[in-house]
Amino acid sequence: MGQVPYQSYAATEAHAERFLAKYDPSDTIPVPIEMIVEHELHLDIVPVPGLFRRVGVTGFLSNDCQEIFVDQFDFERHEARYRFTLAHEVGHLVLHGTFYREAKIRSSADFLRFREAILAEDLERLEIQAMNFAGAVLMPRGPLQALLASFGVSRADLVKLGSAVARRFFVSTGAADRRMRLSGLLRI
Amino acid sequence: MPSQKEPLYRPRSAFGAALKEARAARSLGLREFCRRSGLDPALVSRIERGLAPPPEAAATFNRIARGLRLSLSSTKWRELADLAILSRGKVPKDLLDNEAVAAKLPVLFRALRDLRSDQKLLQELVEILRKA
Repeated sequence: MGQVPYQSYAATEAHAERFLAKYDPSDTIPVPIEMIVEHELHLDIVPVPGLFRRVGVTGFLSNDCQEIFVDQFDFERHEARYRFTLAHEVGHLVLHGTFYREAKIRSSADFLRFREAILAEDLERLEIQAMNFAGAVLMPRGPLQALLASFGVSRADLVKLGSAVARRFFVSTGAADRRMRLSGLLRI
Repeated sequence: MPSQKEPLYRPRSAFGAALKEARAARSLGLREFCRRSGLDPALVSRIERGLAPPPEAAATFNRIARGLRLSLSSTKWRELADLAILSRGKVPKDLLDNEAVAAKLPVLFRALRDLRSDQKLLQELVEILRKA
């Protein structure tokens, strides 16, 4: 039996909306996630060379929830992915803070041990919930709905949609497609 | 011995905290700051967290100024440079080079030692100097 409770997509999205209301009240788009992380949440961002190559993740949250470690290559070259990583780790902080504080993660090696020790179903829940949170934070429902409304519903429109959402919210097309699908806003 | 509520002043982490604060005041994220300054993000992060000493090289310092868009004659810039020098246990060179000022430093140090036990007076002195 896992320790991470199930959370519906709607419940996660509600967390994201409360988070945005508190930390980005001016509804800035693209959401200034790095500024929020550093100057509102007062977390330190720690770029680590070769993090993804060595550990297989683009980022992780320290157990004291004070630092977000990120892959330095993404930090420098893939801003959209870096932004998503930050939002994803903030998701862990908001949704799983207690769980993380007990995990004693201070380094890449600690993180690997944590990943190996945790039940697969717990890990999957943690990751999916944080991913859903990140999507909802970076692509808030209101502005996303407004953008989708400006497009038609033909197959050609759909192809353009993912790119348009990705550009507008500064995320990858993969993240845009996932958010559109799960939000229920794409009614075709 | 200071209580837990009065943490020791640590110049190394004081510089890092001041640098991060300067970025926040200019709405500069770490990424944009590193892009502008050309500095290694891992190093900047270590400096800001007090895990690496403030830079010594003038070229690196000038890059920080560029990243923050500070002129080298600004008060903020001077403050950051002084914090970096203090972290090495040194006195800023421009003060030592000024004979009249350098001659008065022992008096200033003595006054600071005398005021050490009187935090209120010390704070007043800091305020006077700030306004001077």
